[in-house]
Amino acid sequence: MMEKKAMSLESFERLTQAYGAALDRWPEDERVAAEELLAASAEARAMRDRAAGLDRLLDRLPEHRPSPALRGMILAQTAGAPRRGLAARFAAGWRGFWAELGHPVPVGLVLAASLTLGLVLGAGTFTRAPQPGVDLVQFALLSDLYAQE
Amino acid sequence: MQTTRHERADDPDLPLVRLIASGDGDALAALMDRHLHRVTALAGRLTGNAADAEDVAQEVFLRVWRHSAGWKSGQAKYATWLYRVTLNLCHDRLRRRRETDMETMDELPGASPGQEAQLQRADVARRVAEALAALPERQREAVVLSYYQDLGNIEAAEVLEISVEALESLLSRGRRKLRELLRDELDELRGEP
Repeated sequence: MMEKKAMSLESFERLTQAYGAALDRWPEDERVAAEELLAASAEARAMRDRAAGLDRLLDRLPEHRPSPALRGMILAQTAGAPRRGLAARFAAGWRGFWAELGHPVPVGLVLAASLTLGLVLGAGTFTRAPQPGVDLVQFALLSDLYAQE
Repeated sequence: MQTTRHERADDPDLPLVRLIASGDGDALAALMDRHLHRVTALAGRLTGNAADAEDVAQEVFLRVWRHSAGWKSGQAKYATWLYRVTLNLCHDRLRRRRETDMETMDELPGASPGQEAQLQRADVARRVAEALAALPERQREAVVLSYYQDLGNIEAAEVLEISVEALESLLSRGRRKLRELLRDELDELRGEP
């Protein structure tokens, strides 16, 4: 294994000016050499101490934390925003069926088949009592198609 | 979402992103548990405003939900993409704010008035926030990503879409400018125990 070169004061100063005094913010492959230089050089320690002053000031800036409600608000919005979900799953189901048979199937055919199935199911429910599950599938399918950008 | 040959196998977020792409809301919640805190903190430090920070964070995760199916990882980690989107949304906010000339430095979190020491601390925090806001945009972003978000140099450079050398140059110039802007505060700090 090749031995790493000792760090020069110029390199140490350049890195201190960029990353500050705390070596755990430095690039990993520079830390050991920096520690060795710090142990050996008073000048390096003075550079580090100057950088530490700015670090202490920067640490005074508190962090903006997300409010407890934010996560729930985002999830509520995504729940109310139908996306490719149901239509995509419906189409994926058809594609999976055809793939199992060993035939690739065009997207148009999948959508046409899905629509036909929806119409057949819809016609079948015309004279009967409403079936919420089927209505929901059709509504979601149409919504998804409209929602696609 | 299929794995591409460019996809980073070591990206811990990819399994969740694939689930989100299939419409899994629980996966989105899990991704938020990992990243909402850091995205909000990043937006807060770039905009200096809690309301803007939350608006940006909300928009970031709505974009995750809408666009994860079409997401191509390339060489970058998903978190890198999240931070890049956050940065871009913050750019838009700051630009709009400049255009309407209604910039206001928000109240800082944790700066509750009361005892004198607390007030003094809040005052220093405000001056640091103002100095950060006064930096040129790219320098501010470099300092926030590297110092406050604790990103490694390679990841911070990826978010900014620049080389590591360019990142180090931005950081050095940014910190030099901060030292100038905060000279009085640094002098005061030297007098503290």
